[in-house]
Amino acid sequence: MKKSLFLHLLVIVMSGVIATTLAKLAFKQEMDIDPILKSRMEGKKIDAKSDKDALSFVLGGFQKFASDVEWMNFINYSGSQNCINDDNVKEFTRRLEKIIALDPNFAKAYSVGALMLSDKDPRKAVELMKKACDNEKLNSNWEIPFYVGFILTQRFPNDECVGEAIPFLEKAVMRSKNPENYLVNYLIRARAKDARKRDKNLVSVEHAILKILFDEWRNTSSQKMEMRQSIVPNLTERILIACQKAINADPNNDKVLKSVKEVKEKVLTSQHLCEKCFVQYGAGEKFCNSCGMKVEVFGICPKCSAVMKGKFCSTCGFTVPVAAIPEKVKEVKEVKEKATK
Amino acid sequence: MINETMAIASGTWRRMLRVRAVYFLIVCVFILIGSAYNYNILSMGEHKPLMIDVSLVLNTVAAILIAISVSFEIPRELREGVASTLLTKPLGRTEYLVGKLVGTSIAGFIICGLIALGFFVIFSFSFNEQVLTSMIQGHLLVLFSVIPMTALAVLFSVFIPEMLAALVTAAVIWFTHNSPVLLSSSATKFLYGGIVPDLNLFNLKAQAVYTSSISWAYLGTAFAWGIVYSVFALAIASLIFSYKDLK
Repeated sequence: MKKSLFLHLLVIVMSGVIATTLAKLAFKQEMDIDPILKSRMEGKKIDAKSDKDALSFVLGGFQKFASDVEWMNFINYSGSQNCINDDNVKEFTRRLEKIIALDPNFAKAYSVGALMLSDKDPRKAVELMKKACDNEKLNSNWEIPFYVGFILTQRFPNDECVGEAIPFLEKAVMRSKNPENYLVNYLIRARAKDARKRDKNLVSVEHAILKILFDEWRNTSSQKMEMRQSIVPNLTERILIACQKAINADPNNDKVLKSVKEVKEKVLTSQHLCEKCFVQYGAGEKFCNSCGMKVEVFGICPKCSAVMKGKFCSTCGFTVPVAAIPEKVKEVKEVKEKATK
Repeated sequence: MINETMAIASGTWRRMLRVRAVYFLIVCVFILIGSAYNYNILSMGEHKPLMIDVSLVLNTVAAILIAISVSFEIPRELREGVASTLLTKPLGRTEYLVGKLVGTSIAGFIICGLIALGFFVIFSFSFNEQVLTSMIQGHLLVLFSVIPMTALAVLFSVFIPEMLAALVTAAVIWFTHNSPVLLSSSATKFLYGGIVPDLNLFNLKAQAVYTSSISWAYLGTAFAWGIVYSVFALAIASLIFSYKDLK
C-alpha cells in the first residue's frame, strides 16, 4: 500500500512539474500568436472598456463566433434605424466596440461600421479605425487606412484634419500592390490641400498638386539609383498632367508659370511640349494642335525636311550623325549597356 | 495490464458509438454548419467565416459533451455495482480509470473527427474552395482538447456524485478555458498548467484558421501538455479511487 502511495505521489509530482513546464512553453508561443493575450499579460489596456474586455475573455475560445453573432445583430440593428442620429449614435458605438473587443481582426466591422459611424461621430470612427491600422494582423489591408484618410478629409470642416489624413493615405497606397488611380489621386489632393494651408504662394489646388508632385520627384531623384521608388506611380506622366491643369487654371499667374518652367527644365527635359499649353507634339509638327501656338520643330531630316522615323531618313537616306544625338540619350545608352554586361 | 486496459477502453468507446442519438446529433451539426451558408446577406458577405466558426464551436461543444459523459458513466457504474464486478476480475483500479479515459478519448476523436470531416466536405461544396491546412489545425486543436477534458471528468467522477460531477466538470472546463482571467492574479500564476489545467492552450482555433500563425510545434506542445496533464489528473484520481470503498 505504501509502495503504491509512493508511486502515485511520484507520478503526480513528476507529471505536475512536466505539465507546468510544457504549459509555460506553450503559453509563451501562445502569446506570440495572440497579441491581445500578450497585451493583457503585460497589463496594457486593450481595445475596449474593461467590461467588454472582460467579456471577451470569459468566452473560452468562442470569441470569434460571438463576434459573428454580434456582427449580425449590428447589421440587424442598423437596418432597423432610419439613420444614425444623436439618439442612437451611442448604441451604434457600443455595439461596434463590442464586436471589435471580441475580434480585433474583424476588418469589415472596422470599415463598414466605422464608415457608418463617421457621419455622426467622425472622431470616434477614426479612433476605432486607427486601432485597426496598428493591428499587425490587418497590415495587408489598404481599405482601412484609406477610409481613415477619407473620414479625416471629408467629415471635418475646412480641411482641418487633412494633415492628419496624409500618413493614413500613404499607408493605404503602400499597402496596395497595384494602387488604384483614385487612391493615389486622393493622397495627392490631400497633400496639396495641406500644402496650401502652409504655403500661401500656392495660388490654386492645381498649383499645389504640381508642387507636391515635383517635391515627390525631387525626393525620389535624390535617392540612389537602385533605391529610387516613389509611392506615386507614373510620376512623370502625372507631373505633365499637373502642369497642364495648373496652366489651364491660372494661365497668366507668374507664380504658376515660374513653377511650370522649373518643372519643365528639371523633369520634362526629354519631352517636346508646347510652351503655352504644355501639350506634347509629334515629330515634324510646326504648330501645337491644342492651342495653335508655333512650336520648335524636331525629328526632321536636315537634308530633305521629311519626318525621320529612325536612324536613316526614309525619303533621302540621310544618316543622323552620332554627334547629333543628345548627351542625355548617350548617357542612358551607356548605363543600359553596362547593365546588360 | 495493457490488454485489460484496452478491453475497458474498447468497451467504453464501442458503447458510446453504439448510441444512435450520437449520429442523429452529428447530422444536426452538419445541418447547422450548412445553414451558415444562407447567412450571406444577414452577415454582409461574412458567411464563409461564419461557417468556419460554427463548425469550430459545434465541434468544441461536442468534445466537451463527450468528456462530460464520463462523469455520468463512472459514478453510475459505481452506483450500480458494475465497477465492483469488473474489479473482481484481475483488473486494477488504475487500469479501470485509464481504460475509461482512453475509451472516451477514442470516441471523442471519432465523433469530433467525423464532424470536422463533414465540415470540410460542406465547406468545399459550398464555396468551391480547397480546405486549408490552417482549418485542419483548428479542428486538430479541438480533437486534442478531448484528452485533458476527459481526464478532468474522470478525476471528478471518482469522488463526486453523478449529476454534481458533470456540473463540476463543466464548470472547471469553462473556467480553465479562460486562463487569462485566472492568470491576471499573480498568486495563481505558478499553479497554472500543473495543478490548475490550462485549456486556454486549445483556444487558438480562430487564430489557427484566420491568421495561419499556428505552428506545428505549438500544436505538438499543446498535445504533449494534454497527455502529461491527463497523467497528472489520472494519478490523483487513481490515488483517491484506491482509497474508495466500493459496494
